[in-house]
Amino acid sequence: MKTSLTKKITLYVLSGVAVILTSFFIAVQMPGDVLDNLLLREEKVSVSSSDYEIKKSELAHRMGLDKPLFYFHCGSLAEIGYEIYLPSENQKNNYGCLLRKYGSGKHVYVFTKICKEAQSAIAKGGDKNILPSTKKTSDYLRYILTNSASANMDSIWAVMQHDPAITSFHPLVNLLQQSWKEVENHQQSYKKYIPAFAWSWDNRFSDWIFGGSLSAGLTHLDLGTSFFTGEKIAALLKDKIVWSLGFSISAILLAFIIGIPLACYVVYKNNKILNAVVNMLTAISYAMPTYLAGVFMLFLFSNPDVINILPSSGVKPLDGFEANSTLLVRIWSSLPYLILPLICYTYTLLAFVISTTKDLLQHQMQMPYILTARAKGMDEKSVVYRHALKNVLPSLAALLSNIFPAIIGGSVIIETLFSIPGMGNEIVRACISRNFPLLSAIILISGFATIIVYLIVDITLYRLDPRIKQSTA
Amino acid sequence: MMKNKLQKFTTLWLCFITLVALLAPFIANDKPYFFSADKTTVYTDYRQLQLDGKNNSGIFAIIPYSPGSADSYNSGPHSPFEKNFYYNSQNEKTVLPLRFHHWMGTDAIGADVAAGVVFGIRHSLFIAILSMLLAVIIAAALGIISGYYSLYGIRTSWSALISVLLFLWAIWFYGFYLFSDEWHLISSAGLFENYLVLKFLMLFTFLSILFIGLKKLLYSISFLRKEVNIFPDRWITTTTQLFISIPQLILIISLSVFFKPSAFKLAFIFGILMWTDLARIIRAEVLKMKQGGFVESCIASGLTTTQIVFRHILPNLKTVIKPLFLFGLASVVLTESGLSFLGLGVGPDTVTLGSLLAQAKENMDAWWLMLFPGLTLFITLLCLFQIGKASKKEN
Repeated sequence: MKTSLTKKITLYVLSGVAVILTSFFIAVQMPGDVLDNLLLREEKVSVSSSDYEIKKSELAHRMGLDKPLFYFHCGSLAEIGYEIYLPSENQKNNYGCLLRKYGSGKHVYVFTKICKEAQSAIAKGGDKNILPSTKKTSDYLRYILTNSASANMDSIWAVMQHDPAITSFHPLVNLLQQSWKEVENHQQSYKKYIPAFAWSWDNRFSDWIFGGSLSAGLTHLDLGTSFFTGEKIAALLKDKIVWSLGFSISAILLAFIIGIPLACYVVYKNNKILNAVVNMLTAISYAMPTYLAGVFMLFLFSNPDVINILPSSGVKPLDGFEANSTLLVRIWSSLPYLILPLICYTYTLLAFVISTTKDLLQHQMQMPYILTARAKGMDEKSVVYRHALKNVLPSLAALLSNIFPAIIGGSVIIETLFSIPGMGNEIVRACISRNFPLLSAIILISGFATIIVYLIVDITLYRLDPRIKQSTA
Repeated sequence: MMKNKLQKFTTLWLCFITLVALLAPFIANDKPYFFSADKTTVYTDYRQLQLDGKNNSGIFAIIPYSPGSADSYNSGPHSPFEKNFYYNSQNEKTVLPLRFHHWMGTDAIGADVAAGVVFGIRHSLFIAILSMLLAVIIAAALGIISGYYSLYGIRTSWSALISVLLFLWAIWFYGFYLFSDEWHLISSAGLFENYLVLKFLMLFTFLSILFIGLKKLLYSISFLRKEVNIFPDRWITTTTQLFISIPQLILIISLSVFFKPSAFKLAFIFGILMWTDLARIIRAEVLKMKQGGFVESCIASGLTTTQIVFRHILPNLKTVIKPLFLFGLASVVLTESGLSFLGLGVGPDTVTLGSLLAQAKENMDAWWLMLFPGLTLFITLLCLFQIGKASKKEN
């Protein structure tokens, strides 16, 4: 039927959107010190300098951080439409309190804007060391920006008017006082209880997808830049994906190639002891976490005290490959590095494949068509391999959609354990250094890889199982 | 016979580690249960009470060490077969009596591994049980709703639908959005700070009365009185699909970065991510029940939906949930230890099985750092899988 196809497609689209949204909302998170880091690195402005806040706001404006987050935004009437970028957490809190206390967003916005503009004008205007009054004024302004919601403003105006050090700024003080009066006169605190809704096309999400000041956008395959180092993430991850995918795919292939014939053999033999042994081995490998097995194998095989035949970390010889060696030679020389990780990747998967295939086959062996096959004189081997296995194949293909996310997750641990330069290793480092763009890029890639695998499994099922073909055609 | 013995061992082991987990502070503690000492002497180390004093005595726990507390005399990975030393009051190097021996060795800073294992089990089981309880609650709610209403949907009027949606939105706006500053406080100041929960409950009651009134009001408008069918099944199955489109471990890792996890938060993270499989299976089971047999006769005999769900469907789901719960416990224990193995779980000052194993990777010579935590983890997981398998076979 047509509807089931549409449903499937809708589901894939929705999954894609979910992955993109998750990854976006992680990408826009900022650990506190990122802008500070950037300022220090690129503009050599330290936190202690007096025009630090202005520089920070400018940088935020250049990076597009003062835009709204998403296309639409729900909130109260007092706040909507009056977003303003403030460099410090205290100022943000103060602005929110002001909005909620006085309710007239417009006037609070104007007041804060005047404060900020005055601050930047003072910072640009004069040398602070020569004119102590400018420094004093900007201190006053900073105090107003952080405390105006809770402080008694009248006394502040009085102090500012009578401070002899800032006489030259009296016009500014008057302006501020006037705009503050506007704020107080237009107190409409009921506004915060009225819900409101805002829509804007120019936002950070659309910048992230279609390109903006910060990046060329997801549509141009730009995943943003890594915090702290400023590298392009797409370039950073290009080689790493190869390692992760290479290991995952080879592990899956190995598990299926070894596991299916083994399971068939067990079913074909139908031996009680063999069955019990296989059950026990699968139980053990389920209960053996990969990190435990990995540490154990490292302890056994790359320990000078026990046996030292395999290298403990890395994926290639320390001094690199020989110059212009062929691919085969390269693989051969890095083979000892690949053995332990590959075993770690494979063994749980292998147990899973064997036990599932065995269960499925044993279930099939009780079906009537097996009886028919036996009755017509087929030998047991071809009954299992030619009849039962064929009916199990679609379920095995469906197994892949369970396996793939698990193996991507498992790669995190294995790659960290053996220091493989893959995505899993990178995600741990991104987490520890709170490098959110990198984290989001990895989530995006692994999410889309998972969705693609689901798609492949669906198509394979469609090919393998004529029943699905009939029901959808 | 063999099977029986295995079953017995499994149950015994699980009971044993649960007991150990419950009594962990009484089993491994560097502070004595009881001591009497002369008041003039100052002790820098509780052990000195026992080691040093003539008139002093103290009753210590079985493992007289706390997890993570450094024993500087025996630092550097210290094998259980080596002699342990301490410096007595005359500052002479003396062999520790067996009572204070590190039976499972020490790690790099001299912390006792046995105490670490005991508290590691406690930590793992706490997170596993809490998160699986949360997961089961979420999964049962979603699974039963989607399974029970999958065929015919929920039949309501437009007026009810509109007022419920408005109600949910109002709860979000007035309950959470306006008080977002105060809700942020909760993480630092505790749940009952500012009477926030009380305020929220009052708001909830008020809004529900208001919106019930609204529903009655809307119902008087003729075109809103029309009936409408909602199919929660579609939404819930789609949500389940969306949850599994990102690999679980990666989602857990990235969430654990956001919430600077304590054990509670970690359990919460696991709970809100582990329900997908459970919900799918519960849904299928409820669907099967709904389609044939006793649920139909219940409906026919005039029971309300609440009665059917709580008295008839839930007890029947027990056999389905039990093995999944046990498998879930195993996988949470496994994943949580993996997280702390990577150094991403709870903070570095909490000793877990995973963090002990991570230390084993650093010190390859120290087999005891790998063996004892690893073996505990392995046997626990094995038992959980076995018992899960057995309870799966029962039904």
